[in-house]
Amino acid sequence: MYGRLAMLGLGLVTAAAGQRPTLSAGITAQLGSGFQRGFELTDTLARPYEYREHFLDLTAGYGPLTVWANLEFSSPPQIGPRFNGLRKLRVWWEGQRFSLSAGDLHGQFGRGLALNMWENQAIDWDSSLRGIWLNAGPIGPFSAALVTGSATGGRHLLPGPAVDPRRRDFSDKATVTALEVVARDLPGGLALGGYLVDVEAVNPWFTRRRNVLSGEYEVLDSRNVNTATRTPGLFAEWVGSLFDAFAEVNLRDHTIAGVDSLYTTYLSRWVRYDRKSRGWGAYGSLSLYPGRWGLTLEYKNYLYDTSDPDVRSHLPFRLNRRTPVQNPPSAFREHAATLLARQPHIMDFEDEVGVQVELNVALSDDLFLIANYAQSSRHSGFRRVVRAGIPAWERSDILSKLWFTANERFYPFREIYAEVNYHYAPLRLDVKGMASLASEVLSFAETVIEGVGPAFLDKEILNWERRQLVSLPLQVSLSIPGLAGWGLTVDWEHQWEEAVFRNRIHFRDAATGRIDSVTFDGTTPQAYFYRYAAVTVGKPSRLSVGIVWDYASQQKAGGIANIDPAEDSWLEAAIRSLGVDLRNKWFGLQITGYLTPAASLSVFYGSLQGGLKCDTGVCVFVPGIEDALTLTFASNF
Amino acid sequence: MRRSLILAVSAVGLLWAQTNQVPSVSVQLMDGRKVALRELHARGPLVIDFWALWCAPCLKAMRHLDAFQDRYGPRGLTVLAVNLDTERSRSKVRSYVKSRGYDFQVALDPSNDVYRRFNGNALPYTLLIDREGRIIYRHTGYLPGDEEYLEREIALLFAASSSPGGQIGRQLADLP
Repeated sequence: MYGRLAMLGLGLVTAAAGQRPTLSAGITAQLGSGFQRGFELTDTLARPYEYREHFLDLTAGYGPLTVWANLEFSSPPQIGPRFNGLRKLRVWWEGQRFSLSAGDLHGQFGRGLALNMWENQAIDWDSSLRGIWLNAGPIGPFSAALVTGSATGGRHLLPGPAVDPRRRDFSDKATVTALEVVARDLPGGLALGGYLVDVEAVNPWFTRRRNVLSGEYEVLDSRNVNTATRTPGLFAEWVGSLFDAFAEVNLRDHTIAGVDSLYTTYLSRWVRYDRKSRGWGAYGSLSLYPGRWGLTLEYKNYLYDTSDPDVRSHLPFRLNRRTPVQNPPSAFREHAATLLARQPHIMDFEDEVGVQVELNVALSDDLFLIANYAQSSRHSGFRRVVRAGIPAWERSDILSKLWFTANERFYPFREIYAEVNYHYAPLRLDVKGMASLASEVLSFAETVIEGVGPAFLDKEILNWERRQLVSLPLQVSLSIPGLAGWGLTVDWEHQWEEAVFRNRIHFRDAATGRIDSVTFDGTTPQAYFYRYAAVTVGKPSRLSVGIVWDYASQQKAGGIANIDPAEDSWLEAAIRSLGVDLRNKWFGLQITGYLTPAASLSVFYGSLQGGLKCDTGVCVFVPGIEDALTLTFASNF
Repeated sequence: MRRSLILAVSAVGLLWAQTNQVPSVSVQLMDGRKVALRELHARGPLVIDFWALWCAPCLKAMRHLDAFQDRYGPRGLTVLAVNLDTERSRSKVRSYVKSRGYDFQVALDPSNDVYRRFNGNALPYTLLIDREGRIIYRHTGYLPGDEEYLEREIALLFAASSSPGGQIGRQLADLP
């Protein structure tokens, strides 16, 4: 049905009388074949890992009408579930006072605190809406947008090595209706807007969940739960010649209907939930650029939901309080350098307050500096209190809901980052040196057991893990005159990681209420070291040949990679024959040829480590691939 | 029967359609103004470059685009850098462009609507468009030296448009 509609749409556009219609296309074809280690911790068995993932984009236009179709043929793709057929279709019509989009929609209101529909195939994220987007105006300073449709995205519950990225853990079906009214070109360049986003969802809770002990998926509860979310919001934008400012606030009301109890079988305990909940979010940014420097300040404060750890861990997306189309700004620096990108801050869009400051300085046309500082924490922390053998969560809030803290209980995150860019024209030399220092609490657990004996008031057990990263990436590219345009590109990255585990057990004296005895208090550091290098020789718009080297001092999943010569690929065998120790090292060769300036074919042979891949705060673990041959063809015409 | 008719209409339409033509689309400039691409290419050749702050090759290429704007702008060239940053870095775009002192036009496309209409599949994605709205050059990716190919195409376009019947352009195009 959908395919026929696509053909009819394209046919109508292209067969229209009068001027000739336009048509363009883009193709991406990917093939991969190799091995992959198991998803489970300590599972080092290599299994075949193959993918075929092809996309065809077609765009046809006639006057104010444009049709875009995206076809996918994947069996299976690199990550995400397999799909064959018409994946996306959209029709745009643009008039003087009105414009209309119908089909699969992307877009946002404000900065996306309530409505932000986008997709990224590389992380299997798709929050697009199938429906209609109508824009009216401007009529005077006013314009309005009405959006309605349904979102049917799938989501991965946790980003981590124990999650199979080809299997979505959770699927959403939500009907979205949203209205936005904006007044632009007000005095001084001010714009003011307001919106209301209404989401009605049917959620299949826990259709599958992974058993931590057996590693197998279990069907626990296939109950459908109706939820309703209403989010009114306001935003303002002020753009001057030397500055711009933006602010957005909203309220979110969430109701669960049509079910009397929601539960998980986790340790046979019932998970309490609130039938109604209310939260709010705020985001602001201010940028100043008076000359050859610029300063951007960002503030985020998302206090939508402060559920206890049971709800956070065991009820998907906290009973869908965060709707599939809600994606506020992350407000910390998301990196593109390989090692930096692999270990990002995993933000909590429901409960996080923080700031980001970024300074750009152009010392000359050829020397440019960037400095960035980001810090954040949660608003609420929890400890488990066991009274008369019955456990319950006890919540504590940060001092002010408007500012973050460095207390471990609130999962603090902090990063200091600096970047130097230098250009030397005679050699076409570009140097980009980066340094990052990041610290983040990844887990926190505190348990207080009351009534442990006549002499003691209680016993307290405290455990937390803090990750500290120091990263030094360097990227250099140059092209030497007289070598027919051939150039060299080198990426060289070092990263030190220290995982610090704090364990403390103490008793409090019943008479004084003070800590009486500490039976254990220790901090255990675990050090890791990573290195990544890629050296590429290339002639622009023609050919590039590169080698990639990836190294980890230890694998967190356990085991040691590449110790058995019998499992070597020919590339590894050749490198081993040179006397190189291949333990925990991965090598790859990549050749890219340009058939035309807009058509390239890339061949990769070798192994790559897995790691997190993130976009706009959404992260998915993309598994590594070993002894792989991959082909990628991309073209536009 | 109905399916065959749809297929026939589509096939005829597709064969009849012009390829390499700019779609009808408007972009929102960084200062908030909305402008149709046809207004930009009607003034003279138009270079469209899709980029994002997280894309390191894009940032390397931008200094050359700025040089092209300075060099060929007085003769009618417009360089339009279409930014694709999403909410994660959208607030930093103006600050970056202003502090680098770039003179070309910058448009914001956070939903990738414009990028999709040009069927982009990797960044940076650069197109050169003539006055009639024909896409005469496309390039994906950036390695140092790629800018020379783009500049050659720009020079060819100016030469073709300034000579009677485009003879100079054709002669230049025949050069090895």
